[in-house]
Amino acid sequence: MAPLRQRLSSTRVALLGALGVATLAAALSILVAGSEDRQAERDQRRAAASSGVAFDSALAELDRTVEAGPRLADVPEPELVSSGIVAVGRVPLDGSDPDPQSASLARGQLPAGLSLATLVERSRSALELARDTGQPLSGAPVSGHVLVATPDYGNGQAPRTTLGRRAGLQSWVVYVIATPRLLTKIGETDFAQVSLVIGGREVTGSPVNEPAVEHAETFLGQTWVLRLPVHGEPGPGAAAWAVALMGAIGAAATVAIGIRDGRMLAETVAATSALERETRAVAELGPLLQQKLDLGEVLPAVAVRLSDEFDLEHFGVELVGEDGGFVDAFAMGRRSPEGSVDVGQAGSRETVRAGVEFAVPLLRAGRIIGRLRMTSRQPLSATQLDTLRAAADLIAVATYNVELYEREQANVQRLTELDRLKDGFLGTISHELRTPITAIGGFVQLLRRQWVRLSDSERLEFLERVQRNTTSLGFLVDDLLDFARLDRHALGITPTSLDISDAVSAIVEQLTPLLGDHRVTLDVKRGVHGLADNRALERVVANLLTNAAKFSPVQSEICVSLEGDAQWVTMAVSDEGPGISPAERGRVFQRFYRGDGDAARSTRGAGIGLSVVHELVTQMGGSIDVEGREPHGTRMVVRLQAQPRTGVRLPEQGPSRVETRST
Amino acid sequence: MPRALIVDDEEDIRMLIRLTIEIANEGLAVAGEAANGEEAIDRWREEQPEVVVLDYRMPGMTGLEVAERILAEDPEQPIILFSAYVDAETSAAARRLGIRECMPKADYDQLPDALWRHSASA
Repeated sequence: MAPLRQRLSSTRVALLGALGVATLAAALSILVAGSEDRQAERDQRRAAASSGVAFDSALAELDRTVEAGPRLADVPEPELVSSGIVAVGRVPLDGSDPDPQSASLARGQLPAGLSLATLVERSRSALELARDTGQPLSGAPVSGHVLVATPDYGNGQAPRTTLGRRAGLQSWVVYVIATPRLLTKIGETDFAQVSLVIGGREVTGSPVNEPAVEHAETFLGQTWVLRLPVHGEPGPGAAAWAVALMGAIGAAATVAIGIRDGRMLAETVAATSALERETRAVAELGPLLQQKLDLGEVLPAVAVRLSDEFDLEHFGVELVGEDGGFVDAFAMGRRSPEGSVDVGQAGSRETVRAGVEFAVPLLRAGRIIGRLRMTSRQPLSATQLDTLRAAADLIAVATYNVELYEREQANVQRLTELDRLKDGFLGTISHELRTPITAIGGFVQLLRRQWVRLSDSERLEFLERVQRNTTSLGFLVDDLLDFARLDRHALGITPTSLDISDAVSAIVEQLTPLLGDHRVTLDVKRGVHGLADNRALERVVANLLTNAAKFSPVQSEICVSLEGDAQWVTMAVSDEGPGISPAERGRVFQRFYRGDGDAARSTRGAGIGLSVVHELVTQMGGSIDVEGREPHGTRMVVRLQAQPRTGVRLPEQGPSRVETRST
Repeated sequence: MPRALIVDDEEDIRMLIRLTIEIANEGLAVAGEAANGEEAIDRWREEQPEVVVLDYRMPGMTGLEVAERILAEDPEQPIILFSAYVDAETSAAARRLGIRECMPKADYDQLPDALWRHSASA
């Protein structure tokens, strides 16, 4: 504003002052002479008000016509024309030219030099936003014509999400509103000038000065403002004319001086209103970003908004990935092959030239969580860059919130799944416990009631059944207890150096009767020593064997092998059952996991055995793996340490049923 | 002479039920045994027992699925669902299918009475 202040030197002030007084005198006399003109003015104001009403109803009629949406092409032509619509077309997805739906409408109705295709091109962002939101939207006015885009999803119902709408869009139905026609509809006007401003842009007429009556409506996503000037006509009267002439000359001089200043003022005003628009656009981002927690919906809407305001030909959002590198979360337009220029901190006076790709960091609590990449078709001032940094801050907060929300959702899902598994677990456990108890109780009762009537062999058989069920029950109870202790890491294991060959052979022998109709093969190298806890080893082998028996058909073979070298002792339990798919192999050691598919669904077993086995083996310093067999079957491989890692040999302690050997 | 078909995947339980029925000596007999759903349906068609005693938890088809298949062919067939663990949801589902009674396995020695009750209404 400095140049303006220079011009306001004292002589100019005096000159302007003198001219001002003259003008004031002229004005006063005009006022005196024109009291009846005030009446005329009041009439005009009333007329302006009724024009406002006509404006409202014209827009309302347009609104109703527009509600036909994609079926607009079916609306009869006279109705369209009376609403102010001069062209209707269908825009295909592939970017080819729009196809006029109403030949007679399209023909000769648009001004020379303006075609439906041009209008569509200039309103691209309105088309995209209409597609994403499912609402008809208008583009910026071109030569007094406004293109409105209506998305057509095919079966009439817009999909519920932005991504769904993008995928479901078949074409757009577009139509063109000719604003001159609209103005004519408002009625015969006595007014020399009428101004229509759509979305802040002057559409018809010339800018109208005060005094004026304004009517504003929000229509198709933009604000339409009709300005009707109200000025009194100078009344006749020679004296008044003379004074007015003097004032007019003075005024003309003022105007001449003022025009130069005015132009500068206009430029500043234009810049201010552009800044206002841009700031408003960023302010609108706030609620937009808060509305949804789905980045897939939010980022595109943000991109369109910012691209519109800052005339961006490229907009991208990068987020920091798990490895610390930047990953594209969203991108629109072409990236520059030379990469982006970082535009530094807020408050720096850097500017950016048109067509140069630049990046603004996304910061959250002082950490960089991503970047916004942009290329504008216009040069951007330092103030505009500050505005974009403000937008970046909002986007950073939104992204952070989304991440928190997603993490929370993942947690909730995990807990729900765990709950579900536990419920199944309780049912199964009850069944698993009650079955052997019923059998034990039943056979004992039979023995008591029918003792004398039973033969010796029958009595023995019943007692064997009782014993078998007691052993099974014992294992299950041990499993349960160990499982309960898993969380507290209280399994009480003390690994010592054992003769593993003997321990394993003994366990297998003891368990074979429990394994039903299976052939059990032992392939155990003698004298293999390793680090293990006797009880834990017994539990591990028992579990693996009973699993093998449960999941393989009767008469099939179960093989137990054992061998060792200087480093490791390797024990394997194999069956000929259906096997475990590679996808499931990672999950079998999870608690409560009983497998997917029919085979596992009704098979007994509570899903705790393998998780206990895994923990026991780990605590003995070993590892366990699952392998598949050809043509089908499972092989569980347990590795234990051959000797303690510290290098100190622990005193040997064999299992109680075998005599102690010396080192 | 009412005959029962015993369906349970556990051999010990099948033996227990069979002995209970035979030793009760009330004129009841065992028509046959089955260890899973498929066998159960085959045996049912062959033997035409008066009552089916059906375990709920079995590998492959569950007891409810077996009952559904049998009742589809003969809606009047009396079936007793016999299970170590029967909750409200399962008994409601069983009743809806047309199963006559749900008994916990622990009450196996009341089976002869139940068999008489349900064979009379066959």
